[in-house]
Amino acid sequence: MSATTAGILTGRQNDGPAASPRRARAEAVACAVTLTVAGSAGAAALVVAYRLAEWGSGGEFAWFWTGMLVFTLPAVFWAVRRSSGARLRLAVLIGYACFTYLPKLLRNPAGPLFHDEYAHWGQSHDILLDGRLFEQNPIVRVIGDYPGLHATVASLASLTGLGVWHAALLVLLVAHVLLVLGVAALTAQLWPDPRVAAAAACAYSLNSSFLFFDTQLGYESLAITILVWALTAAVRAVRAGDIPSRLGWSGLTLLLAVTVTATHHLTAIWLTGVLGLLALSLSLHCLADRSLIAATRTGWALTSVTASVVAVWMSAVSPRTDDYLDPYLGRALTQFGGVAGGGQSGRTLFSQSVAPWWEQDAAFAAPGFALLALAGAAVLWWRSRHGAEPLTRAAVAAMLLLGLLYFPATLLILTPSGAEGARRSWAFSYLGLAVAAAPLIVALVDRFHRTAGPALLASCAVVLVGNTAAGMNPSYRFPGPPVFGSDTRASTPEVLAAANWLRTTQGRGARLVADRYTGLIFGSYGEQEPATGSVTFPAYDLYRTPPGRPVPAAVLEQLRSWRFEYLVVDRRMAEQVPDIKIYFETNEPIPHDGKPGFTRAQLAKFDTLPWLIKVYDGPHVAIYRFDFARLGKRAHGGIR
Amino acid sequence: MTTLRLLLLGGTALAALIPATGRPWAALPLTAVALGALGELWLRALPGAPGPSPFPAVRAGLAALTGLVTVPLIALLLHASGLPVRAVALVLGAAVLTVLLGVFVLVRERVTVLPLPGAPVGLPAQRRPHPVDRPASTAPDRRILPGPVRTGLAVTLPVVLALGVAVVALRALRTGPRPAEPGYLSVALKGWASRVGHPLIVPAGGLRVPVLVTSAGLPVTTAMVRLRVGGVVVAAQPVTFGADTVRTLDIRVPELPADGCLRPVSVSVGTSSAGFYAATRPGVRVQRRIAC
Repeated sequence: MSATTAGILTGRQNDGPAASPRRARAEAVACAVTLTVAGSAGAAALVVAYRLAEWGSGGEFAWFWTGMLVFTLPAVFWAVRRSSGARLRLAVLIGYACFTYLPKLLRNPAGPLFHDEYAHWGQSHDILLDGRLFEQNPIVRVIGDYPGLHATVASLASLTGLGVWHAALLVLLVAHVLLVLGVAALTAQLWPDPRVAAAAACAYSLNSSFLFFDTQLGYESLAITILVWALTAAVRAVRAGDIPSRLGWSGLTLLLAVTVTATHHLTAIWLTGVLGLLALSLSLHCLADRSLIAATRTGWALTSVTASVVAVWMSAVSPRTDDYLDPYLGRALTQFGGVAGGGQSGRTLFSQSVAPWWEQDAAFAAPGFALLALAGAAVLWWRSRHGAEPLTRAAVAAMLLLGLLYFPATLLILTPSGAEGARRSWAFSYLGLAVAAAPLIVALVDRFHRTAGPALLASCAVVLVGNTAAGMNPSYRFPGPPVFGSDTRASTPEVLAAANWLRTTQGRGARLVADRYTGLIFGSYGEQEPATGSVTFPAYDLYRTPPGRPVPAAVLEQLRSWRFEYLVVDRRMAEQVPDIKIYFETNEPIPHDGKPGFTRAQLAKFDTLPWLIKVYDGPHVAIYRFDFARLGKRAHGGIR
Repeated sequence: MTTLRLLLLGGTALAALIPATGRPWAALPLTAVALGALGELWLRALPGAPGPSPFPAVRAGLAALTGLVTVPLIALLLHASGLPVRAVALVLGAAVLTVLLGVFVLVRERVTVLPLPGAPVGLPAQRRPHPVDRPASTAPDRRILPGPVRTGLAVTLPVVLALGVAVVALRALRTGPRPAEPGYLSVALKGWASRVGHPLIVPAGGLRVPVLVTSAGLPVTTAMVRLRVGGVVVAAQPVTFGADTVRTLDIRVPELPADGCLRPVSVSVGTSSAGFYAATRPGVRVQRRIAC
C-alpha cells in the first residue's frame, strides 16, 4: 500500500515533508519561472495556431496542442508533486485555470462568436439597456427564464462602465478560476491530502467542455462553478458536528442552489441529482454505520429542498424548460432505439471532420482511459472500505456513481438528437470521475514514481486532446475564412452591415424571419427578434414554397397575427450546403443530401410578391418588409 | 477582520461606488471590495467559523463566489419589486443587504460565542475528528511574510503573470496581418423610402426616391444603376463608386400609366436591387384597363 493510500485510509494529511522557508522560496521561484516560460511559449504556440488557421495554411491542430501541453503538463507536475507547499499548489492551480482560459479568450476576444454566446450577449445587452429581466430571447427562447448570468453581466457592466462583453469576460474568468479551485476544495472535503485535491482539479480539467464550452458566454459556465461550490458546502453540511454549523452550511448550500436554479436549468437538475446520489449513498452506508444518521438526514433535507426549488422554478417561472430539454433526451432515446435496432437514425462520428486522425483516435481512446480510471478508483474505494472515514466512503461512492453516468452518455453521442446532450453531460459526470479517481492518481505516482508520472502525464494529454475533439467542432475551436452555414463564421461584413442598417433605420426589437446564421447576427448585433421556425411555427415554409405556389395560409396568419415585420433571405441557401448541415433548426423538414436545400427560384420568388417590399439588398442578403394588406394582390413584373 | 470593520469596508466601498459608477478603473476595484465584503458577511451569517482546509484560499474562494452570486439575487429582488436593474438600485440593494447581514452577524456574535477561526468545529462525539477539521499547527512560523500575505501573493502572482502573457498574446494576434474579409456592394432605400410599408402613389411629375449605396472592402467599382418600373428598364446609367464609400443616389420615378395596376419599382446597382410597389395616383381616370 502506498503512502498516499495509507494516508487516505487513516485520514493522515499527506502534504510532503515540511520544507525549510528558504527551500520553499527557492521552489516557488523555480516553479514561477518554469511556468511563466512555459506559459509564454504555450501562448505563443496558440497564437501561431490561430494565425495558421486564419490564413488556412494548415498545421493549426499540432501548434494548438503543442501550446496547450507545453504549459499544462509542467503545471500538473508542480500541482501534484509531493514536495510542493499548499500555497504553491494553490498558485499553480490558479495559473493553470488562467492558462486554460486562454484558448477561448484568444478565439474571440472582442465579441460573441459561438451560437449561444450571441443569445446570452444579446440578453445581457437588453438588460443593460432596459433594466428588465425575464424578457424572451429571440435566439434561444428558454434563456430569458434563467437570468442569473445575464443579470450578473449586465449589473457589472452597469456598475463599472465596462462593455457587456468585457464584463462577461471578467465574470467568466473568475468563474473558470473558481471552478478549478472548487473541484480542489470539494475533493479536500473528502481527503485531507492537498495533492489529491490538486489531482482532482487537473483530472476534471480534462473534460470535453472545460476548454471551450464552459468558458463561453453561456449560463452553464457560471452555473457549473456554483454547482461545485454548492456541493462543497453540502459536504461541509453533512459533515458538520453540531446543529448551528449544519444549519449554516445547509443555508449556504441552499443559497447557492437557488442561484444555480436561477442561472441554468440543466445544472440545477444535475445539482439535485448529485445531492440525491450523496443522500442515497449516505442512506446505504447508514445501514451499516449508525453514526451517519444525522448526515443522512441532512443529505435528504438538502436534496428535497433543492428539488423543490428547481421544481417550483421550472413550473412557475419557466414551464417551457420541459419542451426545450425534451428533444435532447426523449428524442435521443428514440433514436438510440433505432440505432440499436439497426435503423437509420444514427450518426457517424467525425463524419467529414477536418480534425486530424490523431485527434479522432484520441477521442475514441478517451472513454477507455476514463473506464480504467473509474475501475481503479472503485477498487481503491472497495479496498479502503474498512479503514476510510464513513462519510468519506459514502461520498466517494456517490462520486463513483456520478462518474459512472459518463459511460451511458458516450452511447447517446451516436444519435443526432442525443449528441449535444451527451457532450453537455460529460462536464457533470467528469466531476465524479475526477474526484473519485484523484487518490488513485496520487497512489500510482507514489508507488511507481519513476514510470507512473510520465505515463499519467501522457494519458492526461491523450484524454485532453480526445475529449476536446469530441466536445467541440474545429470550426468553433479555430478561426478561418467565412463559411456559409457555420455559427462561428457567419459574421461576415455584409451580414453585419445589413443588421446594422436595419437597426439604425428601423429601430430595435422588430420581429423577423431568418435562417439560423443571419438570425444570430440580427438577433444580437442587430438587436432584433428573429424566428427561425419550429414544428408549431414552420416559418421556413416561406422559403420552401415553390415559385408560383401560394405560401401556406396558416404560416401567413401566424406571421400576421404575431406582427412579424421583416423577412431576411440569404441567397447562399440556394448555392451552398451549410457547414453544420442545418438551415434553420435541428429538426427542419429540409433534405440534407449534399445538395443545396433550396433552388434559386424558391428564393427569387420574393421579388415578385406584392406583399413583400425589398428594402435592402446585398450580394447575398436581402431584407423584405411584410405588407400583409397586399396578400393575394398581383403586380406587373418583379422588383429585381 | 472584525465584522464591524468588514461592515464599514463594504459600506464605504458601496458609498464610493455611486459617484464612481461608469468609470471602470475606479468602479471595478470598489465593486470587487464591496462584493468580497458581502460574500464574507454571507459566510459569517450562515456557516460562521470557517474551519481549516488543506487549501488556504478556500474561504476566500467561497466568499468571492458568494459575493458574485449576490449580484443576480439583488437583481431578482429588484425585478420582484418592480424596479429596473440599474446601477444605483443595485448599489442600494447591496447596501441594504450588507447592513442586514452585518447586523445579523453582530447580533449573533453578541449572543453566541463563536469558535475562533481555526478552532475545531463541533464534531459528533462518536466520531474522531476529520483531518479537515483539525486545528492549524501551533508551531512558531519562521517565515518573513505572514500567512495571509503569502496566500494573497499565491493568488495574485499567477493572475498577474497570466494577464501579462494574455495581453502580449492578444496584441500579437490582433496586430499581425489578417486575410482580407469579403467585400460587398449593397443598395437600400433611404430616408422616408426606407419606411415604405404599402404601395406608393406616384404624383404627377414623378417622385424622387433616395437610395443608399454602400461599397465596402471592394476596389473602385463602376456599376450600372437601373430603374425598372413593372419589370421594364426605364433609365440606366453607369456610376462609379469609390472604395469604402457610402453614397446617396436620388432616383426620379416617372409618373405611372393610369391603368389601375400595381407596379413594382426597383433600383438596381449591379446585381443588387431594392424597391417598392406603386400604383396610379387617386383621382386619375383609368384610361385603359388592362389585366395586371
